[in-house]
Amino acid sequence: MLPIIRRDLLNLLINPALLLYNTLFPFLLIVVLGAINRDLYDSEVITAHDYYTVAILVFMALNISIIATNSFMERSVKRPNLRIGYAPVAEWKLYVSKVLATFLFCMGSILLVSAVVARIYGVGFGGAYFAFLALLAALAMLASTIGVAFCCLLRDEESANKILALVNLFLALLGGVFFHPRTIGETFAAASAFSPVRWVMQASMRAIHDNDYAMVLPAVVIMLALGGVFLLICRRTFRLEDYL
Amino acid sequence: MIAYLRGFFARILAKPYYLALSVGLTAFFIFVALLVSATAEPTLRVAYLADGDFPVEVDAIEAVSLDAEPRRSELVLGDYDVVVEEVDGRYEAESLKNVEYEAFVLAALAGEDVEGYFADETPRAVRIMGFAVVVLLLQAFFYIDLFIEDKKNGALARVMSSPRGLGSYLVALTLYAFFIVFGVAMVVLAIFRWGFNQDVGMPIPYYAIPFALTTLLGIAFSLFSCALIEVRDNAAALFASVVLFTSILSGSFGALNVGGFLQRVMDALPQRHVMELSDALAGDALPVGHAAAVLAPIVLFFALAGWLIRAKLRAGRY
Repeated sequence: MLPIIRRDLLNLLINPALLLYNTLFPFLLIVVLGAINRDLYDSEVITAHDYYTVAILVFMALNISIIATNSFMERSVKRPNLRIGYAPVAEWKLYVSKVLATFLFCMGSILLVSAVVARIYGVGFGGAYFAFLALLAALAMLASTIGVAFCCLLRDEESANKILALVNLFLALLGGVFFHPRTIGETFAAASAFSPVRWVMQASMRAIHDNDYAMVLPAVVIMLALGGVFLLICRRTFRLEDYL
Repeated sequence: MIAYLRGFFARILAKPYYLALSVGLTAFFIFVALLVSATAEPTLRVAYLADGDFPVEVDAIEAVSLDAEPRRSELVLGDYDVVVEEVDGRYEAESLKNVEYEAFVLAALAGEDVEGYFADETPRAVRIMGFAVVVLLLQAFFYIDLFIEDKKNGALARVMSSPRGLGSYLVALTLYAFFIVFGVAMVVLAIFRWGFNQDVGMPIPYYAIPFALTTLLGIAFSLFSCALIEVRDNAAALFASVVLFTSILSGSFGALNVGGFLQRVMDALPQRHVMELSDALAGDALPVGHAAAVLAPIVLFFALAGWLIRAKLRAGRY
C-alpha cells in the first residue's frame, strides 16, 4: 500500500492549486481575520491572531474532506485507480491509501501554516501544541474518511463536493468557528454539542487556556471511532465499476 | 441562442437527481444565510457571580448566575462575554474582549439608560445581503459545469465553428445559470418573508437588483476561473478562496474599519458595493454609482473569459 500512498501524496503535492488552497489561503485568512478583529481581544491575555489561528486550523482540518474526494475520484486519477483495482491488491487498500495520503497532506499543511504563524505572530498555543495537533489529526482523519465515504455513496465527485461543502459549512457554524452558535439561536447552540468541530474547539481552548486536557482523549477517540464507521461505509459501498 | 438555452435545460433535466441536489442545496444555503443574518440579534452573555438574579433587565444582556468563575476558555470561545462580581457592595466587570462590554454592563447596573448603546446599527437589508452575497457567488460556480463538460468533449470547438458562434453560447450559458440561481434565491426569500413571517429589511422586489448583480458577478467570475484554469477542482479551489477572502474583506460578516490602504482596497470590492447598494435601496434611493461599480467587474470578467476561451480554442486547446 505504501507505493500507492506515496503516489497519491505526490499527486496532491504537485498540484499547485491544492497546495496554495491548503497553505496560502488559511495563512491569509489568519492574517486578515487577525488584523481586522484586532480590537476584539485584549492583547495581554489573548490576541485575535491567537484565536483565529486555532479556529482557521480547525476549519482547515475539516475542509480536508473536499481534498479527499479530489484524491479519490478526480477525473485524472480515475483510470490509474481502475488499473490498481484490477491489480492483485486488496480492494480496501485503494480507498484507505487515499484517506491516508489526504490525511498526511493535510497534516503537513497544518504543520507548515502553524509554524509560520507561530514565527510571525508568536502564537504559542499555551504550551498545548501537541494536544492541539492530536485533535486536529483526529479531525483530519475523520474528514478524510467522510470525503471518501461520500464518493463511495454518491458515486460522483461533484455531487459529493456539493454536499460536503454544505456539511462542512454546517459543522463549522455549529462548532463556532466564525461566531458563537448562540448568535443564531438557542436551539442551534444546543445542537452544537453534536458537532465534532465544537468538540475540537472546546477541547483545544481548554488545553490551551485552562491547561485542562480532560476533553482531548475522549474527543480524539470518538472522532477516530467515527472515522472507522465511515471506513466501514466505504467497505460496504465501494464498487470498482464506478471508475469506469 | 434559444437553441443553446433549450439544450442546457434539456441536459440538466436529463439528470433529475443532480438537478434536485443542486437546486435543493442552493435553496438550503440561501435559507441558512437568511436565517443567520435576519434573526441573529446581538446580545451580551454575562456570567454573574453572586447570589440571586442579575439585578437589571436589559434586552441586550443575557445573564447567567454562576457559583464559580467561568473557565478562561469559555470566555475565549464566547460562552460568556463579561464576568460580573459584587465586591463590597460594588459591581466589578471583567472581559477578555477589548471592546466596551465592561463599561456597558456597569452602566446598565448603575441604572443608566443603555438602550441603543449596544445595538447593531447595520440595517437588516445590508446584513442579509452580506451573507447572501457569499452564498450567491459560491452557488453560481456549480451551474458552470456544463461549460466544463463542453470543453472536455469538444462541443465548444464545434460551437466556435458554427454560424451561431461562441457569443450566443456564452449568453445562453449565463442566462441558464442566472435563471436557476436568481430564481431559487428570490423564491426562497419570498418564502422566508411571507411563509415564515420574517422582516427582511426592505420590500422583496428591491432585492431583485442586488441578487441579480451578485448572481451575474458569480457567473462571470466562474467563467473566468474555468477559462483560466483547465482542471475543474483547481478552478473551484481558486474561485472559493477568492470569493471567501474578498467577502470577509468587504465586511460581509460584519462591518470592518481598518483604515489606510487596506481600507481603500476593501471599499473598492464589488461585494462592498452590493451592500452599499442594498443600504441605499432600503432608504428608497437609486444607487446608480454602486450598481455601476458592480457592473464594471462583471463586464471585465465576461470579456476576459471570452477572450481566453477564443484564444485557447484557436490554439487547439479544446
